[in-house]
Order: sequence, then C-alpha cells, then structure tokens
Amino acid sequence: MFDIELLSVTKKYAGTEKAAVQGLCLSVEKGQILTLLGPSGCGKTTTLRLIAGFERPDQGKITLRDRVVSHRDSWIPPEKRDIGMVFQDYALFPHLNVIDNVGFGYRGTDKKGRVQEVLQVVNLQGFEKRFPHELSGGQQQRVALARALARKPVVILLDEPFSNLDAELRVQMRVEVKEIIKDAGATAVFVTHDQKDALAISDRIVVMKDGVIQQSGTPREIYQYPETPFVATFVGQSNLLPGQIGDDGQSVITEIGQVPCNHTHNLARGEKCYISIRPDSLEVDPEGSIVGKVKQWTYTGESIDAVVDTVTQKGTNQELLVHIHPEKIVQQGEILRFKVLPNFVAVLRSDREFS
Amino acid sequence: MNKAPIEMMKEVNTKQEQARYTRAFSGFWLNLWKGNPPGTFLLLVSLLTGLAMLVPLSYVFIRGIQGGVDRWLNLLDTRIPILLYNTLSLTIVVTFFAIVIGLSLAWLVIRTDLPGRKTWQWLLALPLLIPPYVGAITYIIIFGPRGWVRDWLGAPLFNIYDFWGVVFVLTMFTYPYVYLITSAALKRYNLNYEEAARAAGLSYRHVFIKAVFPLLRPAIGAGAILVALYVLSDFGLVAMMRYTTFTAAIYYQMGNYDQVAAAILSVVLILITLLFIWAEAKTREKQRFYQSKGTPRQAPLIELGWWKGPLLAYASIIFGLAVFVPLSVLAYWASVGLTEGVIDQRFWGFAWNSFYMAGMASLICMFLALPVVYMKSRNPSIVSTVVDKLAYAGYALPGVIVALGIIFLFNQYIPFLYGTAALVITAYVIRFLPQNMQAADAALSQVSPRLDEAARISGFRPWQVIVKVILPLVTPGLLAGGALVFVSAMKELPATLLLRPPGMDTLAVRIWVDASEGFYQTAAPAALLLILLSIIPLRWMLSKY
Repeated sequence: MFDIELLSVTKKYAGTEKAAVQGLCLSVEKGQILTLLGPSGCGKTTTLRLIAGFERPDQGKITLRDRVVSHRDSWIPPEKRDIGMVFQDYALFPHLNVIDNVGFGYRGTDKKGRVQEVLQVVNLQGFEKRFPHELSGGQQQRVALARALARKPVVILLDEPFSNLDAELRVQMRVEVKEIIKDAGATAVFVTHDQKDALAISDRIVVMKDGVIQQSGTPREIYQYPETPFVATFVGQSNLLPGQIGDDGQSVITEIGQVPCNHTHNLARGEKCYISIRPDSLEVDPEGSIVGKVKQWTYTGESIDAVVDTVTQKGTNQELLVHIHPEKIVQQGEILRFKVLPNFVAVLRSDREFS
Repeated sequence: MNKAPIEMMKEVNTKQEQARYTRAFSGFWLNLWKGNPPGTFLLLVSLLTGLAMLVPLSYVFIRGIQGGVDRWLNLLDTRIPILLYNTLSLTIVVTFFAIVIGLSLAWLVIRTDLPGRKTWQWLLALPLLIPPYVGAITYIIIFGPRGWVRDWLGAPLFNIYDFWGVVFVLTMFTYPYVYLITSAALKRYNLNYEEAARAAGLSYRHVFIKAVFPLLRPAIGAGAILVALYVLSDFGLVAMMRYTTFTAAIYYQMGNYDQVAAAILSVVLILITLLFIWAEAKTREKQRFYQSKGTPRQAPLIELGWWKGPLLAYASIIFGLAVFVPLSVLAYWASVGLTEGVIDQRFWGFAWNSFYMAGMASLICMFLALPVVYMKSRNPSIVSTVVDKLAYAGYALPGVIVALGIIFLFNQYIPFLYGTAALVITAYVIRFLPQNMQAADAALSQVSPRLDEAARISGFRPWQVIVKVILPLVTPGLLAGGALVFVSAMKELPATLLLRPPGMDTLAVRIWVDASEGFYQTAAPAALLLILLSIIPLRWMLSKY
C-alpha cells in the first residue's frame, strides 16, 4: 500500500524557463522513510512543497493514502491534507511555549495527554513551559518533530531538518529522528543535499537532478550500484572510466585493465559502458594489476586520500582517487600497485548522459 | 418529457463550455497570483482599502478636469504662474538648505570627534517633534511686527513674513528628514570604499567628494524628496506666515466656496507632487544599485582639530534655533496661560476632540494596515502591489486636497454623514494609513513565511493563521504604527480645519486660531501638550531610519 503517490507531476514557476519538477513519478510505501537527495535547485524542495500543498502542480496527480489531493479539477488545501512537517528553520511559533507549539492545531479532546505522549517520544519532558528561544538547536528540532507527530498525520515531511545543527549533534539527531519516526510508524519524506544524512536515515533514496529523478533505490543500491555518472559522483566520490563488458560478462575492460565486478545491469558482452570505482575499492597490493605514481596525498586521520597517476594502455595519463590505509606511509612520487575489490565497482550504462 | 436530441446536445455543449470557462478563469486567477491566491476576506478588505484611498483623490482630479476650458485658461493666466513660482522656488530653496544642514550635521555627529556626539545624535533630530506651524508661531512671537524684538528695539529687525523668513522657519523644522536618513546611511557606509580611496592616495577632502558623497547620494535624495513633499503639502506654516503656495490658495478658494477653482489648483499640485514622487522612484532605483554591505567595524573618527570650536557652535546654533528657542517661547507663554487659568473645561474639551478623532483614526488604521501589508507580503501579484501603492496615495498629497476630495465624496454619496466627525477621521485614515503600514510591514518582515506554512499544515485555514500566528507576532509593530498615526492625527491641521463639524475644534485647530488672533497664552499650552505626546512614538521613528 502506498501512502504517497505522485503521478507525472510537473511544476514550472512563473517567470522561469525550465520546469522545477518535470514529469515526476514517485510512490512511498506505508511506514517507509524516503529521501529526496540532490544538489540545490534539483527540485527536491519543490516536490516536498507540492506534497504539502504549498505549491500547485501544473500537471499530474498527487494522492495521499487513497485520497487525491491534487489533480486537474480537485485541490485540497494544505490544512486539510493531514500532514506533519518539520521545517528547515523549524518554524516554531515564537509566541508559544513548548506545550502550545506541540499541541498547535490538535483537535482531539485528549490534547494534554497526546502532547505529553509525543514529548515523551522526543524525550523532552520537563521543557513544557519553555519558549523556543530558550531551547538549544537540537531541542528545537525535537519540538518541531513532536509538533509534526502530534496530530498522527498520514505523512511527515522533513525539509533539510539537520542543516542548522553542528556536525556532532547532526550525527546524533540522524539516529534519533529515524528512531522516533520508525517508532511512530509514520511515513516520511525527507529532503536533503547531504548524502550522509540520506544514507543514514532512509529506507529508500531518490536522487534528483534538474527536476528529474536520476535513480531510486535503497541506500546500499544507490551507493554500491549507481546507475548514472551523476549519482556515482554526487553520492560519494568515484573514479569514472569508460570501457566495455568483458567476455566473461563479469568484468569490464578499461584503459587501465580488466576490472572485475559483481553487478553488470545485464549488459551484453562487448557493450560500451562506464565503470565507477570508489576510492575505497582500490587496495594497495604488491601483486595488483594497476600501477600508479602518487601525485599528491592528504592525511585525513581516517585514511590517506591520494591522487595516483596511472599510465593507460594507450599511453595517456589517467588520474585515480584512492583511499589508502592511514597506517601506511606514502611519499610523493612513490610507485604503488593496486588491485580492485569487486564489491564497490559499479557498471553504468553509457547511454546515460555524462555530467 | 424527452428533450429533442439537438437541444440536449446544446445543453451538453453549454455545460462543457461553462466548465471550460471556469477552468480558464481559475487558470488565469492562479496565474495572476503566481499559484497562491489570497482568501476572499483578505482580498476584499485590501481591495476596499485601496479603493477608499483612491476615490476621494480621483474625485478631485475628475472635478478639476471637468472645471471647463474657460476656468482653466483664466486660472492659467492669472493665479497659476504666481503660485507655481512661489511654490517651486520655496520648495527648491528649502530643500537645498535642508540638505546642506542635514548632511553636514549627520557627518559631524557620525564621523567626527565632535564633543558629545552621541548626545547630539538625538538632540539634532528633535525638531521633528515640533509641528512646523507651531514653530512658525514662535518665530512670529519673536520677530513678528508686534513681536519681542520690536518691544526691545522699538522696530522689528526684518520682515519675518518675507520669502527668506519662510525659508528659514521651514528649513529649521524639515532638515531632520535629511539628517536622519543620511546619518543612517553614514552608519551603514562600507568603510572599505573609503579606505580603498585613501590607499589610492587621495586626501580626505577628495575621498569625501569621490568616494563618500556619491554613495550617500541616494540617501540624500530620499531625504530631500521627503523635505520637498513636505514643503509642497504644508499648509499651517505658510498660511501662518502669510506666504501663498498652492495649498494655501486651495484652502482660501474653498473658504470662498469656489470648489471648481480649488479642484483645478489641486490638479496642478497633484501633478507637481507626482513629478516629485517619480523623481524619488528614480533615486530608489539607484539606491538598489549602490546598496553596499555594511562593515561591523567602528569607523575611525575624523579629528576636527581647531575646527572643533566653530563646528560645535554651528551644531549648537541649529539646535538652539530649531528646538531651544521655540520651546522656550512656548514655555514662557504657557506659564503666562497657566497663571491666567486657561487650562479649563474648554481646553480639555478640545483635547478630548483631538483624542477622540485621532484615536478612532489610529484604531481604523491598525485594522486596515495588516490585511494590505499581509497580502503584499504573502500573496505577491500585480493586484497586491497596486493595492499597496494606492494605499500610499494619501501620504504624499496635501491635506487640503484630501479634504477637498472627502467633501466632494460625502456631499455626493454619503450626505447623512456630512458634518460629522466621520469626515475628519476619514481624512486622517487616508493621510496616515501608510505610517501604520510601514510599521506593520517592518513587523511582518520579521515573521518567516514558514510560520504561516507550519500553521497551515497544522490544520488552520488562512484567516485562522492570521488570527492565531500573525496577529500575536505583529501586534507590537501595529501598535507602534497606531501610535504614530495617533500623534500625526493629533497634529494634523488643514484637513481638520476644513472638515471639522461645528463645535469639534481640536487642539491643533485651537493653536492655529488662537495664535492667528494673538492669544498666545491659550495656544502655547496646547502646543506643548502636542509636543509631549509626540515623544511617545519618537523612539520607534528614530529606529526606523
């Protein structure tokens, strides 16, 4: 059963050339957390606002739990959509305390009990009488989440909810927010441009670019098997190389040699494609088939991020980004051999546009 | 009965057509509002407000145009050339001096080590508190044909009623517009430009001419336009000093019940005013272009050296002439009045009339300002922009013209209210609503539209959002605006003079009438009361610039 369904939704803002969202189809299962991931201007926030009802689509149909909320002749305003939303700046009412913020708009007779209940869920008991300006960023975030949950909405929308938090709190809130949403059994759509947020919190990720969906899948699928060059480079770092499927159907022949890979999208032998090799899947190995000279390296603590110059079979230079184990000591100009771990190598169709 | 197939088809056709028209219209409507149309109530209140602002003025315009070729030619031959000369020369000369004084004082108190500069910063804005016609009265008391100077020396030193006398008094009470706006611009001024110019090897004099003055030009322009619009619209001061500009001429024509001539002169004045407003719009365009990011750094103060003494004397003289002298004169006559017991039942009656009509106007303004401002902010479209601009129409136009329009309108369409306080209150609302709108706008700009959306998502309809979220948050701003309207209405003179019902004299009217007849001991206490009341919204007014 789908709680949210968008059917070829298009939205173009007045006075702009390009559509912000173009022919978007999307469905979210009940209880799932879906993330819209993409750079700024990709249409992810517009999509969220279309679901909320703050924008009207030019075309297409939006359904929330079997109820059509936006179609050619039907329109349900945001206040009747039964949605909870967490805003980027939290949008807590500055003139109301925590209780009144959380209970804002709650119509049931058990208002007091319900507010206490959600405050317990977000772990904010004891803060009932505080006003928003008396709360820390993380607490404000939890009040916003409690407010979104209080009315037991069909879906919860979260617009970049972690972008105002510092790095440490951010990691902690990712875990907390995911737990809270899961415990509440809510269906959620979450917008971010941060791939770490997306990978950590989502059941499914939809990567968008220029108003169009690039790829949709589980965090693992998105990271391990990106389908387009854009996804491969936007979600994590990657080395992209042109090549063609090897005769065994389990490898790709590139200019730096034959690379084994587990997942080839069922491309036929000899077919042209791209290959995406994550920096982590290149391992230093004296027996390795790839030879390269260290051009520059940065010690980050977790690893050594190195740029390695390799010579292709054609004789041209190809730079590779490699993560080397931080215990190893490398020198600029040092010659190293690498092997490729097949698990984090992805084959991309070459008919998808390179960006 | 079965309908004939053709008829049935026709019916189906019309239904389909209707549906198509409905869809076409709703598409047009959504497009007009960029997909975000306002609620019916909001739209209705805003549209009616805009209309109410426009109708009296357009009525004056239509009456003037309808005046007939003969009347127009007659007036163009006789009165209009003189009035044009009087009005424009006064406007230009006063604006020039206001810029010189306002800019020099602003520079002194913001950028130099003038002793006591922090105190001077607000002392020099105080002339704003004194209604210019009150200022004129005090100078007539001193330099007039029967003034103190004549009493001491046997003859007045000069004729205060001549052109330069009017220029002097007007300049003293209007320079703060330029002073406040340029002070604010100087505080915001990005020091990097100045330092870049100095690094390029320019002396400070050249730095000022080449790097400071050009960037201040928009601010100076904005202040200058306020001064010019004030001079164009002023009635009390010029009438008190017997100098005839358009406003005074219109007033006297109305006194003679020659409303056609009044309307024709009004049309000319409206056109002049529009010309000036157009000029202001031009400077605003440039202002956007020049907009510079401010630096948090404290600007280094320029050391005045031996200029310190003369410049301190200069600031003191301006303050003395514009604040100290008028207040002393008023205090003297008020004490005379108090010993004669003029603060009686009658005085409090006038005070109550002022309070009642100004209070009603400020209540109405507080109610009307929010819908117009809210619609402009949250439902942007050509409609909300036009309504917003219309609401500002009464701001720039002289009170006499507003009064004339209201007389036409009520005479013609609402005769049962003619001769009641409703006319005066309407005039106050038309003239001062923009002050409330500016305050509401400033307050609303602090409220993120995300709060509206959060309230919508929580299940509230647009009008409920206004009541539950917007209103509590903008109330302080609305009240500040209301206070400003209240004080402006208390001080308002021309429209009150023309529209007040019999027996409904206000403090401002009594000041004017009594002073004209030389009863300074009754005028002075009322004037001091008005000035005291003006202090209430001053804090807010100063922070606005």
